Amino acid sequence: MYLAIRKGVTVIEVAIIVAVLGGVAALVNVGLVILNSFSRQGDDMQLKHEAQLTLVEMARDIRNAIEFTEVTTDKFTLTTYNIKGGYDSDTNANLFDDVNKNIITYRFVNGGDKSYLEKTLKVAGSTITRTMLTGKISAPTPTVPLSSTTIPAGLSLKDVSTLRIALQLYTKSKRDGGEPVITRFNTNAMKRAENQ
Amino acid sequence: MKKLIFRETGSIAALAALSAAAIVIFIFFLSNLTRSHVKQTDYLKQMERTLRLAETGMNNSLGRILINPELIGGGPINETIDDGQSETVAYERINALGPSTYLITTSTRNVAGKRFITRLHTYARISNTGEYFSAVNSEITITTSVMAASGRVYAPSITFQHDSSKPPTELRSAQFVNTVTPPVGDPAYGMSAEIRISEDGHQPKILAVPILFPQILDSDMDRFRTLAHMAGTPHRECDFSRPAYRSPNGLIHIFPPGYDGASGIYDDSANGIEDQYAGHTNAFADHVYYCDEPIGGMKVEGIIHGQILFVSEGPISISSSIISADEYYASKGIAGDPFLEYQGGALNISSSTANQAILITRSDVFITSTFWTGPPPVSVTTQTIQALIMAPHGTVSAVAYPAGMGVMERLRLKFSGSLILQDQPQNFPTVFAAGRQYGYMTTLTTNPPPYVPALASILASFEEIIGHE
Repeated sequence: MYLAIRKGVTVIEVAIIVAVLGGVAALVNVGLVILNSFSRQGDDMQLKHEAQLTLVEMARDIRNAIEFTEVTTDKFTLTTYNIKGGYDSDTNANLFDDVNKNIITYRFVNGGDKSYLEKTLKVAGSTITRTMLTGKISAPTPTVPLSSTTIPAGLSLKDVSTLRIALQLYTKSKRDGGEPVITRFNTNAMKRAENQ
Repeated sequence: MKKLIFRETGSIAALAALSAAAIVIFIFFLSNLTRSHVKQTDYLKQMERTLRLAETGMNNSLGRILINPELIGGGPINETIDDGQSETVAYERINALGPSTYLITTSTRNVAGKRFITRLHTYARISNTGEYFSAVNSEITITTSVMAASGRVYAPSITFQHDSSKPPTELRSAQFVNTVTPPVGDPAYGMSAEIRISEDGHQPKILAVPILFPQILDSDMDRFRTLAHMAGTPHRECDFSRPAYRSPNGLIHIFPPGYDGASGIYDDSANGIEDQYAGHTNAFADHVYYCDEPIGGMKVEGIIHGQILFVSEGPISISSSIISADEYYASKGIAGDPFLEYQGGALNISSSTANQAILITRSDVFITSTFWTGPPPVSVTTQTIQALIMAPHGTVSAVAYPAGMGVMERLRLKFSGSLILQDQPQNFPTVFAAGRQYGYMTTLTTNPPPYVPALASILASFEEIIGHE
């Protein structure tokens, strides 16, 4: 320090250092703001991706279904054949037996901030349960139900081929302290098999 | 001194470089984050498209199988659709769903150096078209008193006319997709009611997905050309109404183009019947007459002996009655057709097991105004048409006689057979104003005609996600 003052270059140097440090600080600040914004955007994109994956799985189960057995605001149940033993009925002789039917239920479970979507698979006496979108899903409502369909006059649910499914997710999280923003993800899926 | 200044300047430069590097790393991180999400979204989109390709490939392959069942158990059926390929192999299976066709469809798309693959496993029931008294791909009105107790009816929308003062309509089943009138549960349905359906709880049955109709493509016409030996000595005939076809008894009698030559020609002199077709081959399997005139088309009328397919590149004109030999012999008091041994006949020179006219065209079928050519009939006169009419891209229309001549008022239609059409029949009430009677030809179920395209419905279908590589 003494040497620098003595040599008479310190004012410029100090000015440059202050300017550079100030610039870096400003950049870091801007960067943090951008990072925070991207982070939230990233969270939203991740959530969107998760929602799409969930919808893809639900739609695939619907397309593979042989019939729907329950469709309500926050729940739907369908029946499929269990293909664990293979797709070919020659090698999987029980493929189309009644005992080889899967019963798949998707339902919204209300747990406040920990609400989730539950998938239950019942086959041959055993039950497998999986939770999805924990803490990210909002409760279905009569106007935006988890599943809905139109039953033709005089017919029953088993005669229906198309289900509309909708997920309502928090895309702007409550961490900002504000009101959560809910985005709706939905699709129509039609089963391929005729009613049995 | 200079060294010191340089060292301090160097520190500033290093600081600047470090800051720049941090910014670059930061931007790189953000870029990767974004790209990763785009990649995930793109993967789902590509897999969705690959699934659609598999579904299209499966439907197209099933359509090909409906025309040519020999594809079952044969080599793969390949399709190139948009930016991908699908390959389907098909096998016969018997399982808890009954006899079915098992199709494995693998679809592949190459996108930006990546290969996306999805496989569909589908079980389909392929039905003999002849099981259907009427299968129409749009909407149909079923008139009163249809006698088709062993025939099915299919259309996306069906309207039944019913009248308690008339005989009931009898059907084996009535399948629809969109609407049915009267609605399911209406008192008009029931085995003692006006519309008597023997299956499905005596009610019309809604189908979750439409029945897959056969599409008669160029390749299918090529197959019929082959069956008619068009490349060699062809069974080519476009006009069965020519005077040269008349037998000594004054009627036109038509026999299958192939027969067992050792048994002689198709003659029944005692009844004035002579076969006038000069091109018969000694081939039991020949059942197809082919007309390659896309504009003029084919004319058909006469008494039908055996199972005969009339295939036309153009329209088919029904120029007069088409009558099964069963009915002809019955009207003469003769039990059974002498040409069909299984019916008690002395001869068995054809492989036919029934007397059936099968009319197949990619165009339309016309009932021309040539059935009645003289002065107006003094009493009700009946035109009889006994045939399976397959025009899956068209319809069947009755051509009107000149108005005010008093012909149409005395004409009546007696139809017995099966109608496989894109659109429902046209103009029948106008031309056959004296009445219309519809019935089903039971032999279409008991003795299905050969080489006839089929209909399919899907019993089960599973997606197998192979992913991408």
